[in-house]
Amino acid sequence: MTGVLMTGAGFWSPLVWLAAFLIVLAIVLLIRSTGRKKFRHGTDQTAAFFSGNEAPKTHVKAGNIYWGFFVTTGRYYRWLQRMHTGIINDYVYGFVLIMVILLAAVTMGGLL
Amino acid sequence: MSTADLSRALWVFHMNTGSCNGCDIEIMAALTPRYDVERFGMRLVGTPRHADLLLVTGPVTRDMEAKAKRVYAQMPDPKVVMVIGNCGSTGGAFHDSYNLVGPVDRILPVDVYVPGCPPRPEAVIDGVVKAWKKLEEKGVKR
Repeated sequence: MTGVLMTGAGFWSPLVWLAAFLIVLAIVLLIRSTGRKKFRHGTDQTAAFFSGNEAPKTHVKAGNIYWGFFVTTGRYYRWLQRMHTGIINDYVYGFVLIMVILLAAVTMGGLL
Repeated sequence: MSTADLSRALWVFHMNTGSCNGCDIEIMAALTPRYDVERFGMRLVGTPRHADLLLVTGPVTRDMEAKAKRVYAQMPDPKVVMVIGNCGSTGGAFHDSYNLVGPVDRILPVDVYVPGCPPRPEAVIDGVVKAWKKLEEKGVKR
């Protein structure tokens, strides 16, 4: 499964993706290693900052502040929810449709 | 101290413990293009958890005592405390007020004093340089 897929418009190789992932991971770890390590756990140094006040315990979850995110992306998720009917025939139909589109794209790319 | 000695950015958290805002305005003035301390990597941060230096203004009113202690406790080590202005240094005009628990060194371990009412931005910058040296003495390596 590590072969290179030539499409005529380019190529796709899992090894390239793996290399890219490792490079990004190395950059992330490098940036993370420059962070501060001297926080003493179990003290106020790791407590939430609440303008100098003691952070209150509240029943209101942080998810409540994401309402704008949910409203903005709701249309997209409703579209996805409609696709998930729970009927296996619908999923197979979707799978076949995507395969047809991909094969057409690869074939057209090879012909061009 | 030359700019070559400034091996890392100094992040500052500013806390007003009852100041009249005079010293706070001078701190802001140090950040304006005329003085521009940000070119040395000094910047104000929004939480003590990111700060190396605690800038305290004001004489510490009774209500601010616990908050000042908590903010100091939330800073990672090593850390330094710098007091700006007469009120924070000695209590100033409010030294015998019934509502005062300061000056700051009664509440927190102060490393640098910058007296003045208010001190000029040049004095603030000079104090920051001293604080920076103290921070490096305390072992600022991450």
